[in-house]
Amino acid sequence: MLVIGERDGCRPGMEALMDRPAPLSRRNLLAGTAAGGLALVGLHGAHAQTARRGGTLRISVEQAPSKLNPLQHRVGPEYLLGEMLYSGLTRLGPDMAAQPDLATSWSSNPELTEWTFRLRPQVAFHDGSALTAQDVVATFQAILDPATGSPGRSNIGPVDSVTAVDPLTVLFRLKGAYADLPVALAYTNARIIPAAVLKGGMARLDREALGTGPFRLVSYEPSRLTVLERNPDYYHPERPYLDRVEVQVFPDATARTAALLAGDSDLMLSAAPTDFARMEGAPGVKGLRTPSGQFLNVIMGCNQKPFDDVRVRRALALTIDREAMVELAAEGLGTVGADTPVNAAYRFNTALPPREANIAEAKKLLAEAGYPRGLELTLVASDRPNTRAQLGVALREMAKPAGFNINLQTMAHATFLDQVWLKGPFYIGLYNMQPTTDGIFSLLYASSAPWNESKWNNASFDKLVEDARRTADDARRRELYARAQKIMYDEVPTLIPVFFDLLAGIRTRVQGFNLHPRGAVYRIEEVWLGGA
Amino acid sequence: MPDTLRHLLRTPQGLIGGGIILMALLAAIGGPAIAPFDPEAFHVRARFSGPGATYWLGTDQFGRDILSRILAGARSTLFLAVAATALGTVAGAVLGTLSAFIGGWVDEALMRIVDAVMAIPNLLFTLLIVTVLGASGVNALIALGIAFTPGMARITRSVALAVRQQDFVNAAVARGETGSFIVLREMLPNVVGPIIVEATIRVAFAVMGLATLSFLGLGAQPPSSEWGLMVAEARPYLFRNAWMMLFPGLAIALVAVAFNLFGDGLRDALNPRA
Repeated sequence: MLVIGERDGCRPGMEALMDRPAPLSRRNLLAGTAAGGLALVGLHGAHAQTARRGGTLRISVEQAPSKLNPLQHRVGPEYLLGEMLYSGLTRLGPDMAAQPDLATSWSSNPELTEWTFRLRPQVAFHDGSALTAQDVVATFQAILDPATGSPGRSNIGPVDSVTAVDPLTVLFRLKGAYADLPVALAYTNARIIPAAVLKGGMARLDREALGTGPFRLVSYEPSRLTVLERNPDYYHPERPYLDRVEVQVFPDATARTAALLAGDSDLMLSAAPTDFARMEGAPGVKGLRTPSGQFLNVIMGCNQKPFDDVRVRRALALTIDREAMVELAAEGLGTVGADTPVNAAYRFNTALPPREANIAEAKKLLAEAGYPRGLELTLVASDRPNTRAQLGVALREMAKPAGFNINLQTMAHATFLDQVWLKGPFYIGLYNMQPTTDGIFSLLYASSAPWNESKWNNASFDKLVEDARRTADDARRRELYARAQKIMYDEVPTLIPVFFDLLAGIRTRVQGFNLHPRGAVYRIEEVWLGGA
Repeated sequence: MPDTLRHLLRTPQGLIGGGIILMALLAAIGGPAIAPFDPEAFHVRARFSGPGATYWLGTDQFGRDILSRILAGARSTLFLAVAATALGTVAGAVLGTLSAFIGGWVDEALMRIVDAVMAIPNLLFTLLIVTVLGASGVNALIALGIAFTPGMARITRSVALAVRQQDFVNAAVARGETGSFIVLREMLPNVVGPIIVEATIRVAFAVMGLATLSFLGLGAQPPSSEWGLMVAEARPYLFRNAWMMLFPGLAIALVAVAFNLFGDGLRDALNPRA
């Protein structure tokens, strides 16, 4: 089953806080407590509480944010810093639709090839300079420049040129019609940087943060602690509510959970499935969970033996008992995958028939491919998070009866990123959900994808993805994506047996935080600390 | 030798240590045969169970029987530990005896090198070697063997220096025997006692050293049931099922203590004056 059900990542409190800036003056606060307190509690429960100013939020993350330059971010903790220090033109809502950020409104020509964005007036960067259309232009030019090495380059849509119409209007000319542009511009790397800074060379951004975000950088020790303070000049008058944010690095999941339970951190952005049950039962702490498009995939180098033969890949896919895999790899906190990277958490998804395990068929395919006596393979799994090795061990055991003899090799995550990721022929990858179906396809699976790790390079798949992004009609797009998904389902460039729910842990005094299915949207400026 | 054995079994250390080692050896030899389950078979419906009637020591995150895994793991754990010690002992003994026999500047040079290597903490040195060689059980064995060599060389040399002064060595030199003959046939057999005692105690360190390497992901690789790896894999589940960590940890401790006791007993048996 691919149906995840309603996205419950969006809770009523979130909209309440977003649309109606909470009254913050002391008088309002008192009045609210004294007169309306009872009624409010009765009607809305905790969500209607007034946001309080002040306090330090301690966030624990699982790996070091090793890059400070937002154009080069590629992992969760870096996205978190990018979002707090910088702003984009748009931001991603809980329903995967675009919401205003630095752009207050946008429109396109009927052909969807030219998009005009109106900028928010009187926004200041952290160094005091004013945001103008020139900054936006310079930022997107930097993203599009291959020398920058930004993963955003292929994720912000088919942008051809960006020009400033007037100081507060930006025009995007596209290479083709692209309906997803406002969503695509919310991409984690598309953070606006002052044109002057970019002109002086990007090295400065490795040490400093000069954005328009709700927080300013105080200190940056990548592998230990990054401290941020409230930006009093943030464009939203009340936000952020917090005075200070500390981002603590805890590579070890058990230690991270222990820190949360002990009250040494307030918000744990990623929880291991094994620790989830433990948090649910602890006082002062609760677990957050949302279905997501995050997945572990088994990458098979389609350009080399034995995986250049589709029968080998299909045989391996047929060995997996996917229901059991959800239990073993995700502790049941996930959903079954059908070897395509999109699922019901995406706007465009067509449910494929779940692939049942069929050892006899797998054996037959393997024999047809020329391996009647089985195959010896070495699967690499990094040690973080430990779900990778879990999936590896489970796959090894499930594939054994079909004749796959898989040796599992674990290694330190840094070594893995350096030596195996994007290079090795057989390893386990982990990817967050992308904002759009197009986004995940063109990040990982299109021939021109920046992280084309399977080297699958299927022309008809490329064509369908290309066509879909030029199509305005939703029904037609859905159909094109469905055909692309079907090709993947048949060709199996990577195995995607399990989608993981996103899990987090939070101290109950932390208010206003909602876990986003995308996994790279945090909105810390909406968070505030309640009593106790 | 039977005399030594009788002496050994008369000491309580030797008896207890020997008994546990014997049990561990039985597990290493016949482990898979006497294990109640296939150590790699999943029992998806019985994951994280505690000790009970079906799974005596409980099950792990895949529902694999912990008892069966410990029994199966005895082979790799013990074999690797003994082999690593043997490697270090043989290399160290030959080096030490040679150094003592040749003497002069060669002895001086060898011993200074040994000093230099011994100045690096043992674990750090092992980690360095494994990092260079790559993570695997066999490489961990080699690394540990190399790390043990300098210590063994030093001990052997000090004993061999005394033997070097003995008349039978001087007689062999006077007979015009070759250097290798004197080292291997005259001197080595006479320094073997202390070496065996030292080696026995070293096995305990090897068991723990290998467990440490596996725990750090540099030794045996999953789904091996090497004990150190079992402890490492159990760590994220500490709060779900602590037994997963406890039993392999206990097995490591027990075997390490047993080899220590056995080594003590052996020392007393070989050296009745003590």
